[in-house]
Amino acid sequence: MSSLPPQRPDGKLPSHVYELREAGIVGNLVGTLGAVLAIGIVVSFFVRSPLAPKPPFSSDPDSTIIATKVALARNSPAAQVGLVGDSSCLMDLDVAALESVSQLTVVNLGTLSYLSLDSFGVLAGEFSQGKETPRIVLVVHPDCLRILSPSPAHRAILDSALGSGRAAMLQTHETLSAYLGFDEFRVRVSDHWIPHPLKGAFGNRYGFTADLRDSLIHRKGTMDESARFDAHANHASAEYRLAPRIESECREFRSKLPERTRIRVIVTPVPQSHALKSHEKKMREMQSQLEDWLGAEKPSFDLPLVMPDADFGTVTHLTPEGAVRYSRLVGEAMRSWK
Amino acid sequence: MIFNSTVFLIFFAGITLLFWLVRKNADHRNLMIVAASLLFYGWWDWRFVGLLLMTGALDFYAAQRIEASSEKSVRKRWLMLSLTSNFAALGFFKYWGFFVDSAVSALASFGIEASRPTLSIILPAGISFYTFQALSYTVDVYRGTLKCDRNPIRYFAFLTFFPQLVAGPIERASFLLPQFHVTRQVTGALVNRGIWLILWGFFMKVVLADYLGPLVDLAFGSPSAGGRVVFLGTLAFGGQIYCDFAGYSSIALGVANTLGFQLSVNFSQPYLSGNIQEFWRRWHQTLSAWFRDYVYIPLGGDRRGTRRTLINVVGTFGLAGLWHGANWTYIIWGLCHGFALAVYRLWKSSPLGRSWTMPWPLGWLLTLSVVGTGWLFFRATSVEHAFSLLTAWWKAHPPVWAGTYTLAVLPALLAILGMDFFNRRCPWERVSRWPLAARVGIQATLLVFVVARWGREASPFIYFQF
Repeated sequence: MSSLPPQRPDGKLPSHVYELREAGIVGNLVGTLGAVLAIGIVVSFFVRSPLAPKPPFSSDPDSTIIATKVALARNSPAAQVGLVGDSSCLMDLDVAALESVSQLTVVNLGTLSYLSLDSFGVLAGEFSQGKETPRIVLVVHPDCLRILSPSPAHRAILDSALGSGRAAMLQTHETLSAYLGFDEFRVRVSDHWIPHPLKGAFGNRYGFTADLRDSLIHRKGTMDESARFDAHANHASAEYRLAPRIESECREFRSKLPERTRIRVIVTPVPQSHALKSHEKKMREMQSQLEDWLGAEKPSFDLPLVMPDADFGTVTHLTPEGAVRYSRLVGEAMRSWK
Repeated sequence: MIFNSTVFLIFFAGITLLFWLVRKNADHRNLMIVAASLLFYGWWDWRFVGLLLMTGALDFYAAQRIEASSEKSVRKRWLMLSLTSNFAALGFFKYWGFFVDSAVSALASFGIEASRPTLSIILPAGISFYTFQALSYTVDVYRGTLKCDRNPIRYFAFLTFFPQLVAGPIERASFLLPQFHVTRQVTGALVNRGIWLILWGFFMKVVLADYLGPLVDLAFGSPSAGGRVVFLGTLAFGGQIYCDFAGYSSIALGVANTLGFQLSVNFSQPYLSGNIQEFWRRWHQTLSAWFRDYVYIPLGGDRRGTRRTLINVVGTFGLAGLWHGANWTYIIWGLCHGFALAVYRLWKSSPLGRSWTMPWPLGWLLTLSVVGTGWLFFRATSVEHAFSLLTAWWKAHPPVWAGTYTLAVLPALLAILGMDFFNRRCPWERVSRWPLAARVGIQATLLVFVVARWGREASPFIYFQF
């Protein structure tokens, strides 16, 4: 039978005694922390040096999309039309379907609504370089036009992917890892060989950011929405308007393109159950205003501004099947754009 | 509070300082440990501190009554009270929904419609761990193998000792309780061992387990996953749960060591086991020992013939599965291991098994196959999900990302095996004799990885849910 030590009558038994000197705890601790600090200093210098490789922008889906679109903008010399815009451009326009109907060669440079219109203009400018009469279509969802301010982090990713500015990260934290240069080391070096899995439905569809990038390149910039629209779920307000920033961003957009560039504007559709009665009228007004600010060609393409709920994955994105249907309509409208 | 959080690092630094301040009085130390442990536990949800204190107080009192009485019936009555209260709390918080759902489904199969009571119950963190620790105390006092402790602070220091409160190791009172009676010696060797274990634990959790987590989610959450992805995903889950749980145990041991306490080793490179019996001597050792001493042996162990032994083995593992959670997937996981152990015992007692020693690589592969199959059920959300994953093995067309998945998972699995080979060849007793520079080099490498991954996709420890 194991017995406990006898109970103490005085209660003055010392809790514990420290016998630390002989084992070199200080050397162990200081040595370990010092070595980490030294590695951090070396890494910090390395990532700031010209020796550090360029980041592959594969840490997250947003960076992957933006960087891939920069690459597509620069490497599509044969494309006649460049589609730029938010995620509705990215997901609602299926290039294969559009090309088959329009008889034009197209590249989809749509990204995310977190970027400003002038950022879309930067991509359009990259696409336009070396082209005699570049044709650009700005494709935006009304939701993108009412956002009050774009995300500086996403713009930093775009600048970084374009080669201006340091390696940018979407998720930056005030952590020891950032101070020691490990975060930038990850973005510049280890991201080249460590795959990043995607989450949820996009994970099921694309797996990893590297596979997403390959798919985007293979499909000339088109991406699929995996969700299914639920009319009964809570959605953002259906009242749309132009945010004050849009006018100046349109002018910035225009200034990034050669004078001879031909521009068109498309406002993407919303689900039937989500649209207000005045939606189509309001959208035509907004589109006309955008065309004026951008110096875009008129009349606008005759495209639906409202589509059946069944065609939607979310309020802002069509399902892949819906995207094919819509892209055929866009292709039909673009056929006459010679 | 979880170990892989900045708030825990601050807490631990504070405790180390307070520990130095109370060094002259063991009672103050024990009181401080109880207070710190309750803070640690209550940080997650303070409401369950009351449950912990209440069940603990009942066990403390019951043990005294058991020891004070010489009448068997009285002793038994108090033991039953302790067992009932602990199992009632465990049953209510952990198994209520499971039993109600199972009963409703069983009635429905007989054509009887019964409505499910809508009661949303939050599971208190670590309830299975501290309940089992508390039970071992009263049972040991009842059996007469342990004297009860009459000091409630010491008892609660044993029951709530924060490094092992939420996810073990499940300590025996005969091992841990006496440590609160005596003056502890915080030696340099012990502190250095603690630092070593803490760094390895963080490396396993923050670097390996949290890296594998999203990959496992991808394989188990994807309806399009083919055979290769499910196979690798299951292996990845084996790696994730090992690094998660063994990492936690390693940090617990390390933290206790830096305060001058010893805890039981919970994992000893289980994936290097050559047979399933060895696996269970190396995996979650304190739970295995608990079930051996308080379930398997009281059931008769291997003393009542081959047939009864096999029933005892399978039954004990079925219960061990149920201990993990209120889901048939856990029970199937336990039964899977129970049957494998039963087959292994039969094999070892057969003439061929006695005369021929299976080559280690073959035994290792067989063990991994059984363990892997078990993990598939363990990780699946339901039995139907597990079978849908099993049928995916024969899916002809893997997803386009299967190649990337292989590239992502294999290096991590190899790293885990490499880590285990290293730790088996170089246990702390050997490492402690190495030159300081070599030890510092390894520690710094581990710490660099931990710092680089700290805070990225940090997730709670898997075993907190049990």
